[in-house]
Amino acid sequence: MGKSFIVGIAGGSASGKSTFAAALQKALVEGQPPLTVELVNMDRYFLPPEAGAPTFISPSSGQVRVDRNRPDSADNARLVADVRARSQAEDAPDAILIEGLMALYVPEIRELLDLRLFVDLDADVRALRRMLRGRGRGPNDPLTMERLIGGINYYRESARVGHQLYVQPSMAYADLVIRGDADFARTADFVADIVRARLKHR
Amino acid sequence: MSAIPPRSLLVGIAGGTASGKSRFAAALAQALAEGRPPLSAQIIPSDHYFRNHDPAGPKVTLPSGEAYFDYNHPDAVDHARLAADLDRLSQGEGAPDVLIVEGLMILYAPLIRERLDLRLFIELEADERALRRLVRNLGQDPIDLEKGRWIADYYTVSARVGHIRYVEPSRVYADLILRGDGDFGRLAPMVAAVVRDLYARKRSGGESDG
Repeated sequence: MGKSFIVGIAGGSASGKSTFAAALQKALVEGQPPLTVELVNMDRYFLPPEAGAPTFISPSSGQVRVDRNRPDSADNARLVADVRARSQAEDAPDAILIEGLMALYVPEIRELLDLRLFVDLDADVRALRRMLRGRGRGPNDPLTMERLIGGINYYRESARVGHQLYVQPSMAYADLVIRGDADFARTADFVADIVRARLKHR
Repeated sequence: MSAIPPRSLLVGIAGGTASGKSRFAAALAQALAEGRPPLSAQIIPSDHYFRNHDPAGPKVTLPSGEAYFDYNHPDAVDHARLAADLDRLSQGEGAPDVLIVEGLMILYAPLIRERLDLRLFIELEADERALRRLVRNLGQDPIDLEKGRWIADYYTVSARVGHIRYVEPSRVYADLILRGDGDFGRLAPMVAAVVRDLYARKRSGGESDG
């Protein structure tokens, strides 16, 4: 049994997982009593192609693409080892928040969790959000139509498939489901209350 | 004294935004023209009847606070004028064999629905429709992200809401439901066969009455 209280936040692409994780972190750090919190983004554990990341042949382009929407797309064993180590360390934080598509789907991760959250948002709203995030795009790096169509094709061929096969069904494991279009300042406070109450009973 | 029976067969095509309604209407018209016996078809999009210049038309409020015409409300279309036009176009000398009327609320609006001889609904998942609509409405390269966000906002407050409230429930009135990502080259001739059969029965019925 680790020292840290471990919260898992799963949900579809662009559902609001990271935003909710940040809001929860803020609520835990700023509330009374203030808690120490560490955030683990599962995206940082994606396997590179040379390490055996799953791939698929894109029907639209005929090219081999890395599939980032499968349970074996990430190095789950390393993630579990890292979280275990942090949660049992001398300077372990009060809470660790693990955020990612498969946080509830992958059994080894799910079993680590003291609280299981799922951020739910309808696929059409997520699809539009995903396409318009425009991360890292400046005046010198515009979103071209070709790039948008490429992104839409990857969504159709990988993200939507992985969502339907793995992510959405994993909602069944959630203790609480949060709407991805809710006011997170409100819902994060509710979840923070639950985390504090559970920590007290340890 | 008896009323003149309408001569054209009326086919209605409803479905969500970017589901493929107008593309299917075109495929059906072509299949009707090319099959045996060839039937003439005229397509009437209900989009031509938008009341978007009517100050009393329905409005939605965007997250920015901007009020905008709500194209996804049943009152957005002047269905009374559309119904009157259908009555006029389906009768008389130049009437086509088949009138195809397509639009979001064709099955929702009773004035139109009750006139139809065949009711079709094109269905497609909301995320696919949202993405198709985004690409269609952006229309410039490179993309203006600001415009993209406006399109997404309008979709969320108008298209999405109107779909859930009105369009999707109206599928219960459909005689046939077709996939919007189906092969229309295959599907349209199948539906054309149904239309031909309905048309032949309507004609023979009309002749025996006369």
